[in-house]
Amino acid sequence: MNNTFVFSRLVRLINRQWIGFGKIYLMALGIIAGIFVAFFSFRIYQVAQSQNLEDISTIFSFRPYLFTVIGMAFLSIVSSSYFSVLGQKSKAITEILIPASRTEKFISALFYTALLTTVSYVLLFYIIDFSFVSYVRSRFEASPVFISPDTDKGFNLNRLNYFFQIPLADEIYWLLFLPFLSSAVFLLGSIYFNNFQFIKTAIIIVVYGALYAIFMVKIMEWYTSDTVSIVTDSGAFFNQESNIIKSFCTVGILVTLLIWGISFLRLKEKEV
Amino acid sequence: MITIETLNFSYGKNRPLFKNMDMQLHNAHIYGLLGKNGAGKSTLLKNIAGLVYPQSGHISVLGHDPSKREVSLLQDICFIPEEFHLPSVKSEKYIKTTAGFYPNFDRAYFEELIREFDIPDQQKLSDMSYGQKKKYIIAFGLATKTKLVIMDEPTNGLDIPSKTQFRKIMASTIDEERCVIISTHQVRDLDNLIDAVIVLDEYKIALNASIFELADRLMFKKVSVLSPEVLYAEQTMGGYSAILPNTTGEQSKVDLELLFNALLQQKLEFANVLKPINHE
Repeated sequence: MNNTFVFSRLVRLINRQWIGFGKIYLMALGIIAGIFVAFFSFRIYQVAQSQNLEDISTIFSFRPYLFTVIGMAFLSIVSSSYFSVLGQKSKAITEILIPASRTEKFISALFYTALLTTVSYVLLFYIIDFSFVSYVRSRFEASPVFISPDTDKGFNLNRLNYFFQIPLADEIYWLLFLPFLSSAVFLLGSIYFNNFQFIKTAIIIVVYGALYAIFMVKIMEWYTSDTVSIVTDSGAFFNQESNIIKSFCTVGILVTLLIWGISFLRLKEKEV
Repeated sequence: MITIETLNFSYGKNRPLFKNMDMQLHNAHIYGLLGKNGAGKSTLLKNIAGLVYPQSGHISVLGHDPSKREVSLLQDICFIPEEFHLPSVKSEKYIKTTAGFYPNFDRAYFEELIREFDIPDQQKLSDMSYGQKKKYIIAFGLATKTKLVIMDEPTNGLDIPSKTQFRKIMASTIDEERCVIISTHQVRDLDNLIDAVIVLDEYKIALNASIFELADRLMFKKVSVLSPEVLYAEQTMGGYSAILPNTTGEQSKVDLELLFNALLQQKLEFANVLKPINHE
């Protein structure tokens, strides 16, 4: 008997957890879909009312903010609710005693809170964005066809891009660990706290963030006092700004792995 | 099957529950676990199942350390808690997603128990009444065919016919490989059901003996006058329910409630009478 990991047992566990977790997850996804549709629809309504087609290129300028804010909130809430059952005596006994190993239970948690949540969120945003952008292009002629004088062939001049076609700044790619870090922190919170997991974890993050900011400001003040600021031609404070972001990313990934590791250990120690 | 050695457990520095507790439980028995409120019945069961960890001491269940929560042990433990949750799905879906974790799950036996308990199988589990849910979880637990069955207050919420069915089912469920532990404060529910009794009192096992041994050692009977050899008695209609030393060898029906009260109220006297059969 393999007490550590059996793939078929993991699949069975994921399948079993869906009956409890799936409904909450799908409801959360439905609410988010509603929020997205509301934002997109409202902007289309505004432009349709104003008849100002100059707005077309910026009609959905809210997308990066909406995608980031709602995405982080969705990840945090799903992660925070995942192990919250361990704080409820009536559910916790069944969950702990279900014959699956700690490794399988933890992988199942990562599957739901990091993988499925991220993929389904991106897919949902992609589908909604695709639908609305396609609609706007067809209704407001946001994508007229021009004939190239050189080749004599027609081409589309897109005044409105799909969200995932917009090129991202290089720095953004180095920050892609953030959703996973957030998920890891809230997952640990769901194991560590027995009730009000989301609020307690959020408070800790806010307190940590505030302390971090204060310390950083104080340290930088102390480090740069009585010195002269040299700003390069490009306006960057640091000569190699990307190195700072790369370091930030490395530390972030290590912290994410560390928090997942702590969650794994805490899962073993959980008592009812 | 279960060995507990010098178990120490507390929920805080000022709230010890077990002090150097020793106990052995064997297969092919249905144990009734009795104790006052707060004596630690549920906590002892949780220690055995690995749901809480002892401060010190050693617990061995089927040769495993339960605190490690190994799959090979979890597959052989069925724990029916006092408070439980059933998901909002029908029985078929629940069986499909959960029974696979227990390699010896007996579907035919489960359906037989469902019929016996008269549980509606087309209803969502979460929509059932508390009693129906309880019977469902008991039926599922017994159908897992695990070697160790732990039940915490299983008769709470059951109506009188269901309690009768429960006793009947439990009596037929025991086999040579199986050990059942039933914790309850409703001592009458265990009548004619258990074949061994464990009493928890003052951080220790006050008694761990088979019903046969108790009947061999003690005489439970109604008396009209209290004679000097009476160990313990409670006044009833027209006389006393009394416990006396069994000097004749004649077997009487063990009155668990009377025995329990006697043990808690006259510890010293009973310690002397029962010590030779107290299998800690």
